[in-house]
Amino acid sequence: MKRTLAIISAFVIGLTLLAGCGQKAGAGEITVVLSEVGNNLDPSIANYTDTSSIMSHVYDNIINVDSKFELIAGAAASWEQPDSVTIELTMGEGFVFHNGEPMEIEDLEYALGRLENVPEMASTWGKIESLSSNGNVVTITLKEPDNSFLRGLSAIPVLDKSYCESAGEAYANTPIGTGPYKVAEYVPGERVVLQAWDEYPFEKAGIGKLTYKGISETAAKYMAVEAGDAQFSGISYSDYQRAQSNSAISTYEGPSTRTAFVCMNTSAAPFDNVNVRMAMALAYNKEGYMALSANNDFVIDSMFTPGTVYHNSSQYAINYDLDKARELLTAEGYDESNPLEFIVAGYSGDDPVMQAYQADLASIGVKVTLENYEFGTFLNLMMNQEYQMLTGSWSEVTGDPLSAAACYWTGSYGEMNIAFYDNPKCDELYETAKTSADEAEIIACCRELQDIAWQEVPLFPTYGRYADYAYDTALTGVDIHPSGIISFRAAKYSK
Amino acid sequence: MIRYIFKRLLQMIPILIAVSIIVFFMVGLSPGDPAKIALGMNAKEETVAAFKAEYGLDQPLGMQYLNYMGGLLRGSLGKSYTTKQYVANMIAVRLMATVIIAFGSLILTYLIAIPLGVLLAVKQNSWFDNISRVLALMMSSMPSFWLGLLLILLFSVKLGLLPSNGFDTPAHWILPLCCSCFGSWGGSSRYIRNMVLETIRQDYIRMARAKGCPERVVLFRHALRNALMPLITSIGMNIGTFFGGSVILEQLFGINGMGKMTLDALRQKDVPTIMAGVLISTVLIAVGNLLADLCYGLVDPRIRSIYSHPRKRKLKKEVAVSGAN
Repeated sequence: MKRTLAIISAFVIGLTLLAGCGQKAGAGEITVVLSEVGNNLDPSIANYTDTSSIMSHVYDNIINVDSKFELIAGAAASWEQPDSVTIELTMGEGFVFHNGEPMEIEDLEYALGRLENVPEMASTWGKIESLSSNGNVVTITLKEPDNSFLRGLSAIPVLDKSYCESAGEAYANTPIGTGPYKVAEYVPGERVVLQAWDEYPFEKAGIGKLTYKGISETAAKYMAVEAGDAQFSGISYSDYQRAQSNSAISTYEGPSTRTAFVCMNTSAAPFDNVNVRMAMALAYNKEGYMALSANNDFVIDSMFTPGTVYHNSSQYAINYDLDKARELLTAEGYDESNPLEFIVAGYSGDDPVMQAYQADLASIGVKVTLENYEFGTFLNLMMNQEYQMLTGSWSEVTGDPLSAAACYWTGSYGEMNIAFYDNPKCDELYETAKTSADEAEIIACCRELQDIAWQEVPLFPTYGRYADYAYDTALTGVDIHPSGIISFRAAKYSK
Repeated sequence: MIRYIFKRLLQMIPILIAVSIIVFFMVGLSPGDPAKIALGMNAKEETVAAFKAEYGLDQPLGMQYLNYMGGLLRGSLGKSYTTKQYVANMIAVRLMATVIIAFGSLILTYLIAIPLGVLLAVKQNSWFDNISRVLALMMSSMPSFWLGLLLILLFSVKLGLLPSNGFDTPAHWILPLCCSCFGSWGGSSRYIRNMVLETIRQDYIRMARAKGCPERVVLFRHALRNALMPLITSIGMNIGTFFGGSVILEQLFGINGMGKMTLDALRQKDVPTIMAGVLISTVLIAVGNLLADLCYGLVDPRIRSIYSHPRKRKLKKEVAVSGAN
């Protein structure tokens, strides 16, 4: 008995001693939990929200978008569009790279020019006819008018030309930028440690050290904050509700740019028939299914980002009406003797919302099979028009209305227009929105597109989602953008 | 013994080739274009074509396999399609965590399960044995991700004793290893209990007791040693389970291991990363099995004598043959 007690005591003492080895963030240091820490810090290649969030502290983007998706100054202090194919960027003053070299106009030009050699960004580069600089102004000449180009610059960081050229591929994971933080340590896939840069020429960072760690499991992310091992994390809705009752933790909830939708392949039967598509939208009970979602979703009525001037709550928006859906299907020859049958493709596992939709459709005689695919297979089916109906979601981080408009444009088959929808009027509206210099005209085109979208229903938007975060009460001044980019540039940590 | 080890290592080569062929062709023939997955939906056709040319994806699948194996023989695991990093570098930062989880779990499982199993055999049908049976069932039934969350909640959130995530210090290892072992403790201790019970009913144990051997010697030198033979077989088979289970632990405890890397690569059809993950796991499992086989020799002197004295064995054979003649 004595021996057993001695063993147990030794185990407890050992556990306590080992616990001392755990590292907790000290004053001026915080740990931020992300779903994933990428394997590459190159902002062009690892163009994911989590990596962008980290690197937004190291680099300055050419321009920025605020929380309302208005363009604001970045490394470029201002910009002008003298004509439909020319953009003039005036370089901001006082920017200095971490190696002490001041930002030059060549660096701005280089950041744009190098995109030609980055396959992931080549679509952006393909739009540029020529680049030139004069004084502190870079002039970009586009091959054709494109209103989405300027907004796209909000995802392009300024790089140190001479450093990148000398470092080669190594520049990506040992980056030098003009931001308030320097990369102190990077273990691919595990953690990134950012150290506040003392010589930052503008307002210095309020927190000395930011450590980013990746945890995929959502409940474990919240527990890391609860245990004090992390000071900030995105969390699930169920944990958000739990966090609200914890006085040691602050919470934040705000809309994200995630847009979920149901899309139909309009290039083949049965969804080449507008009445069948409309019946599908009528059978979808957005309000009713919402309670089934584990997330804090909200109903949306457009693929365009809510709250922007381009968004239109169309008068033609379709609401849940099963009887009307049945009538439409009967009129098209689908009834009990000739039931409509199709497969819905998805990739995110069992979806109670789609199961409820399946049940609603079954009640009006429609036989639906829900199929889950591995993501690569799902993409393949989608891009090759080998599906009938699918569910998915996307996020527009820059608030570009043309991304949503491209859902109805034949020039974007298999990319944004995954319904393979063909309507000359939509093509005309898209082209006008893309090339017009008149903002009012662009807004009008976008709004009309949303009216057509509800009359033709190639795809119908279902839910947006609130993003939830938990953080230490001593942490203040965090800037949480709807796109999911979290900035600690102006944050303070008082512990 | 060295000959035996060498022979077993040589046997790994056809296993690795077979695994590489099966995995490469299964991934290659599954739907989905790795170039389009890596470059995104907006990539232009010419960009996709250039990407395929760069990574040799424009060649027939058989040729792609030969190219891959050629690279492997030259010591190159290739470059990831999605992260653009050398796979060897990606493995280097992850291998240690995976090995610690897999082999650490294995060691910790049997370090606790063996004495517990012996104790249960000694205390057969006592209240301790009956309670442990119920507990063993509970422990084996608990899903590890759920158990992991409970452990974090108790030891990190409530007691503040252990870190909830990461793998930097030994303190970080405790919760993942306990989570990994918990289910096995119950099952293995019951298994060892039954093995020991079976052994202590043998005549030679009765003989040892009759000779006046202390009970501890009877149990640990005679009974346990003989009961260990089937246990070693089960350890060899369990190595794969511990490797497989590390994926869940990595996701739960934010550990940068090979399991999650391979899983992500599978989702993205990143063939070089998948191949590296699978081949390294195969090697580690094969080495683990080899170690388990070598343990037979440690436990059973008959096996040890076969492999450790080849000349003596040859001599014995010759004597036996001449005797027969």
